[in-house]
Amino acid sequence: MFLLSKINSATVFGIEAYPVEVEVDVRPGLPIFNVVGLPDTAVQESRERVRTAIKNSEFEFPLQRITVNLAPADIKKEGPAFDLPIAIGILAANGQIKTNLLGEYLIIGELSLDGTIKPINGVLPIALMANKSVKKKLLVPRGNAQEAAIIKGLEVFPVYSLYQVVDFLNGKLLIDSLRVDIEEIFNKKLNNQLDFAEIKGQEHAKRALEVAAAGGHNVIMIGPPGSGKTMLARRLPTILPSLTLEESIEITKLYSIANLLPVDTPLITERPFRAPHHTISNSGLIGGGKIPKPGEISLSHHGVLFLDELPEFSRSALESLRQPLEDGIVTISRSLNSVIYTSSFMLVASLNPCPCGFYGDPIKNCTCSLSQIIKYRSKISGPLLDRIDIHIEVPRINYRELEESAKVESSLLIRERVEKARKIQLKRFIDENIYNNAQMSRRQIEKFCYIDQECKNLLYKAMDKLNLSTRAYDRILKVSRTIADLEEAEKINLSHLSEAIQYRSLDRKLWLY
Amino acid sequence: MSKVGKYGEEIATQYLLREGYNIKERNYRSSLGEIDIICEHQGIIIFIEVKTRCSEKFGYASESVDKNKQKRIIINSLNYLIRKNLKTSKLRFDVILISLSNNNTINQINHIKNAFDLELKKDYFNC
Repeated sequence: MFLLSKINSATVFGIEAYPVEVEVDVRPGLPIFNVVGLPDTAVQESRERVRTAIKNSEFEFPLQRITVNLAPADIKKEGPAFDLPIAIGILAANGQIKTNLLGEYLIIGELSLDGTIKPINGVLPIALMANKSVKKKLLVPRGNAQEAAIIKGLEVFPVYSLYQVVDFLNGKLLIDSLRVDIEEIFNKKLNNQLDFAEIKGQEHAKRALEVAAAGGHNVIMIGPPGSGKTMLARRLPTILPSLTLEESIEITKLYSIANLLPVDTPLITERPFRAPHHTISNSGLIGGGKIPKPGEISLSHHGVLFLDELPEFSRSALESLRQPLEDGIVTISRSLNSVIYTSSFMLVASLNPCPCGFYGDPIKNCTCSLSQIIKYRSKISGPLLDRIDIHIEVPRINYRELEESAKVESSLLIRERVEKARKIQLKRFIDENIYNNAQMSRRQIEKFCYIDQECKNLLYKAMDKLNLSTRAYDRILKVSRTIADLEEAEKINLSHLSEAIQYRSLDRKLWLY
Repeated sequence: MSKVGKYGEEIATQYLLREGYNIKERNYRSSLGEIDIICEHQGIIIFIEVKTRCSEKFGYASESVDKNKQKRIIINSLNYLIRKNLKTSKLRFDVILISLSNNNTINQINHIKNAFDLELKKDYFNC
């Protein structure tokens, strides 16, 4: 009879999983059941679940001194995923599981009182970690098995009860390892209901969004209520380039940790679109909490974060967006630890031109005072605006325009053009460690956005006439590069530049229509 | 005290004597409670709680020495050490579990040495 057993398990911290060794020592003494190794409350409580599950599965729970150590002892362990390894460890130390193969498996799972195994969070990061290590055999809850099986090269055994696991480990039962066809899952696109073809009119805004999608530029939309800002934003993911498998796994990792992965969806294959309400807290937006969890910006990783009514958001929440917008990652620091979540998203914001919403409207009169308007707009700080390349004015459209059934392009067509432009960019930045025009730094702008004297004259003139601030200069060059890419043009010409200039309406110092 | 309990303590005492322990007290009583056996072995003072069960479900005997019972034994033992002026001696807390079969023959004696410990963080005198 062994007195000591060791089980391989794992815990998730940030977006990465770490191996954890569950050591169980059972020795004579008064019956005490201790868990050490920085367990949180959920892990402490696993004692009761483990005890009851073992008894209810008709195994013997040893009335001896049980010490469970979760090594390494200096990483915080959280969540109920250690229930199953602890239970298996106790049964193995007690001699009820007899196998030499225990060390080959990585075991995770939550136990319910009757011994069934429940799904847990963060299985995908654990599977990724397992794939890098030598332990290639995973015992995971049946509900999570598909998620883990996405990773090629792993043997994933779906399990649903403690009894079954013990029989399996004792060699009395055979469980087939789960195989999934990742190509099939990845290519099974959801039947997307949204399409740009549904939007009548607003050709200007649609074109601007196409440019934004092509260059990965952040967008702000200004317009009166009911002009279709939200409708446009919702359809933006449909024209963004299709996800690659790698991106898809990155997104799924974050959703797996945040416990937002829908049942029966082992892989997220669509670009996420997140539209948080404007009352959102800082930590809800960028991530945080006592045990850090990814926030909305991470959940819109590789997708679109839509902030409707931008000035209504709290100022500190908006300012906290600045670092992630720049770096594509967010670092959440707490006194005891800090975690890094990926958050490379496209920001789409919308706002009304004034509090009542009708400033500059050709028909309806604005009722706001000038000071009200200034106060409203000052909520958006310069540094934040600095990170938004494209400003789109979305005017109210005439109902007659709705009637006109002009030819409208479908998202699919637009996406094709966008993907073409992205390919050009990838080729251009092959040695630069960036992927799209929006990420260009000052030096790279000078290198890749060359304009001739004629264009320069136009730009200077425009800056003077339109009262553009200096920060607009770089933005205009970046955007005109994207417009040129969309037309597969080598050089930026006058028409590209002039189109880019009109996407800077918020930089006009008076900002009047 | 029940007959079974008394009988069990008798068995435990015989067992300890066989094992070379010096019995110092039996059923040491104070206002704080009772300690079944106090003995000495290799310079260590040992306080022993004896639990006797007739039923086959032997395990439950061990569970009956819970935290509260442990605490009472510890407080009482400290009281004993002070009274006998043995404050500097080493001490240990054991539990002896005895299972009897139906005709009162001894089934098993389970001597758990160092079954529980004095925990420094607890304030034993604050009750």
